[in-house]
Amino acid sequence: MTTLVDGGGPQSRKEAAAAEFRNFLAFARRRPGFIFGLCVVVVTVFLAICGPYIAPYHPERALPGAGLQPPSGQHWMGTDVSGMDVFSRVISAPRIDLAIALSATLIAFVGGVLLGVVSGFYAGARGIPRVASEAIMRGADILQAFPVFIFALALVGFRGPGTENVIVALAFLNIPYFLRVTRGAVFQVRERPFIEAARCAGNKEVRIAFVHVMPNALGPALANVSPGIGFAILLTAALSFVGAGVPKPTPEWGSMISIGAPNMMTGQWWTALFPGLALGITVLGYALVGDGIRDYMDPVNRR
Amino acid sequence: MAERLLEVTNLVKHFPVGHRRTVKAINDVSFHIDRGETLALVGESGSGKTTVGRCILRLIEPTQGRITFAGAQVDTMSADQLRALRPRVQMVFQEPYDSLNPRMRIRKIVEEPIFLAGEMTPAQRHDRVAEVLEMVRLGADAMDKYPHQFSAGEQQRIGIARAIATQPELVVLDEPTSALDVSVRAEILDLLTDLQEDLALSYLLISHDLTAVRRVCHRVAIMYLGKIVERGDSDALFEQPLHPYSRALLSSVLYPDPSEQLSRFLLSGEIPSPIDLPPGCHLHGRCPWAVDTCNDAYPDAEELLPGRQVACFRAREMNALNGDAATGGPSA
Amino acid sequence: MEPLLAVDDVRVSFEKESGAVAVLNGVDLSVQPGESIGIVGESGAGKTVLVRTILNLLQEPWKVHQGQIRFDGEDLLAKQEEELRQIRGVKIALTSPEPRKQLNPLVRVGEQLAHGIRAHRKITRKEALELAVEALESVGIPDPHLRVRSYPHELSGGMCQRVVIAMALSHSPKLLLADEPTAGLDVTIARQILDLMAELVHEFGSSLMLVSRDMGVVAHYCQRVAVMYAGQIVEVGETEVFYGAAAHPYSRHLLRAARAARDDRRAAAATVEARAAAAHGCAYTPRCPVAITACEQSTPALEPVEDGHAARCFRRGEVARGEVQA
Repeated sequence: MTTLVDGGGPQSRKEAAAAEFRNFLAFARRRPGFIFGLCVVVVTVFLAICGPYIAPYHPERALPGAGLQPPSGQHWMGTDVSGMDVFSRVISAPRIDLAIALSATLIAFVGGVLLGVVSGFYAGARGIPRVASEAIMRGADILQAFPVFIFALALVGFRGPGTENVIVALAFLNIPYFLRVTRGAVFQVRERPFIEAARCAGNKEVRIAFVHVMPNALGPALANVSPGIGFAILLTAALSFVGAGVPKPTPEWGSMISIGAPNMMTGQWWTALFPGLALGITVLGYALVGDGIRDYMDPVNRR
Repeated sequence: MAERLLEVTNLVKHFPVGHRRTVKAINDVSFHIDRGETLALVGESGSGKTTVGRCILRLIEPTQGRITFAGAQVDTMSADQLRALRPRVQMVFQEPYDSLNPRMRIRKIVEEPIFLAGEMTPAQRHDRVAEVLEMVRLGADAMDKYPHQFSAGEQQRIGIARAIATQPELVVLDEPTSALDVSVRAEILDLLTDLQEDLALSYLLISHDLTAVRRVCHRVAIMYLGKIVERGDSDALFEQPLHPYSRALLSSVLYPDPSEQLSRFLLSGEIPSPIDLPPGCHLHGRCPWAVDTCNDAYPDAEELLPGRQVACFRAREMNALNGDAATGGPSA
Repeated sequence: MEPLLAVDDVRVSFEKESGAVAVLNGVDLSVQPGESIGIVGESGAGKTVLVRTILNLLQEPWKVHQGQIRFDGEDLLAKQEEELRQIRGVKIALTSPEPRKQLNPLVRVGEQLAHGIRAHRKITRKEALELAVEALESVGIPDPHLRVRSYPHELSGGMCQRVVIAMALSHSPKLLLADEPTAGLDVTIARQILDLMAELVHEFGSSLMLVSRDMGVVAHYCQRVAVMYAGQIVEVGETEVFYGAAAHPYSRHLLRAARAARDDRRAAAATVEARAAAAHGCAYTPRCPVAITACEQSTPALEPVEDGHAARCFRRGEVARGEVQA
């Protein structure tokens, strides 16, 4: 399409940043889902930092004789079977959930992107690089073919339950996703003329891969970070639910649902419902932010 | 006699595609470029002209043939030797924007070849970048911008600045103007001619547009389906093309003047696929001069006029040339 | 004579989230029945947008602010989608610069042609396929019986363009909009396509609006020329007159650049120091070598130089007569 937009662009870097910001605001204003997602992210981050301090009760201490009280002015979300305040636990949980999800996703992002660049850039090459590229892909296939739970349970079986094990398990599980999207992006970038130009300039292949290809192939992986975090929170909860995750009584949504599940049958719906809602809203929010970021980076939407 | 800078002998490139099939992109091509000279390699899609340019830089590995640059044999060089050669042979690409890394500032883009050549201090490099940007008529304020902040013509000048930054001897120009608007094209060609004079550069100019190259090249080689069908000095070839394909190419060009008679020397049909090359002369299915002999064998190149090689069985007869000192003949 | 197509003061903008960008700034143009007119201009001039506006194809975020497009006595911009379908492809046909993208990659070309024919004529599929074979034959595709069964990827760019032309002309349109018909084609193929198009348009008595950035193509295949710059028609005239005595400095610039290659002289003769475009003045002022004070203060209208030749320039007379070096 032809437009009159000239190539001049904004003059100074400050102006450029300001224009970018205005553009972002205008973009966000038309997408309520994206705004909702951003709010969820802000709230969860805030709770991860301050949750335990602003909680009305200690999230890990049972109140004697106050088990299974329904929601009231005193306990907004009731108490659970051992008498811990559900509300305090729900708002304290992001600390551990977010910490696990963030570090697992970060490890997966870094590992996945690096491996993705290597496997994508050297696919179809000759000799050792090609073997490396193939090996990486087969490794990813194996990881993805393994059922998530078996893998995590096996790891916990080996090393006993604990936060680090959850992180390791989640990181391994997420690496193939980042690897594959990056590899796809690398396939496109490496065919572009500026890669040939880089070769003409005298770059070594390794330098081309990491200086020229990688920065231009990060987009899809970056867009997957936010949904990846949401997904990781969900999996953390799921692992805790089956007892292979965060040990009790650390406040964690999955283990709270697990603790509350039996009570659900007998009519004490609040013990499991509130952490479940928190979990659902959080995962949805992160996924929506991911969608928004992807749309924002899409040049068609940015025009 | 002028010094031979580049010599390409019997270059062949076949790309395997699918099961037992190959794209025969280059089929035995030989040419040379002297120091300070511009050779234009002209042809349509499928002619293999771009592949030739990339083989010279070893961006593509040739299947066969010998490439000699300033006495050194390029086709057998190791990766390290090749990198050492890079500063001396550079390339300008067809796509002005896409040949610049969108996430790098202009300073970095132009500096990179100098940096990798590794012979200058950071301060010297900075001065050199400013100097070459000046040479391509871009201000020093361009340095801190990103490629998308420039017009296509300016982006192409940045590409040229990068190519000349290491003071190369040979620059391969791959369709440097075909993605540009007509008025910008002329500017870029003027710039390239000026730089050639100032820096004693040699060019291999790859183009599909005959008229675009006329003004800037000294010699022309016209390619069709992986072979050079005619080559010679630029002016003479433009005045009197001898090969039917060269004639058709020239007469396909529409000069912007409605009063000029349209030439009707046209080829019929389509360009055959380089996977299934026709037997005999590659042009015979489309050529108005074709006779039975053209079906059977590919014609050898003959010197029909001084310095003019033509690969056509009937060129001598149809251009009414007799002996080797022919003059006149029908005008295109 | 009543013009077949009359574009009157059409203004179109592209609505970005950070503000609107004006793309067509008051385009006036008319096309007579049976005539061929060339629209020339560089990228960004608004040529393609104009074509899409004529067909009323623009959607969000494009917006038509003002103007009227009368075609064959009807106001196109006021029409409903349903009515437009009876006009697009039937009375006004379009060929795009990328013929391959205009074809559905998953459907045989014969089926696509037949589908297009059946959309507006009550005939059987078999009859339509026979017409498709005829149509392919008429655009010079060898072995049309076999080629109807080809998929687009099995055809070369030139062949795809022929198929697209066959589709465009299958309902004998009154107007053919050919947007850069030779853009991606090799020169020896491009000439074949242009000759074919000219021949068929003549045969059907259609009008042709040929959009191109190639001054040579327009010179030889059009009776009139309109030059676009910055979303306006800056000059319009008979081909002979225009190429002999262009009256707008921008037209002169385009012609000089296009002729430079063969004339063997330097083109960028007068590169003008870039000046900021004045808010009210002529859009070409910053690049114009003959700009005067008036050019920065008001925008010149498209006014006649002589009969049938008009230019948007205060100095059009002097420029046309060659009295000033533009």
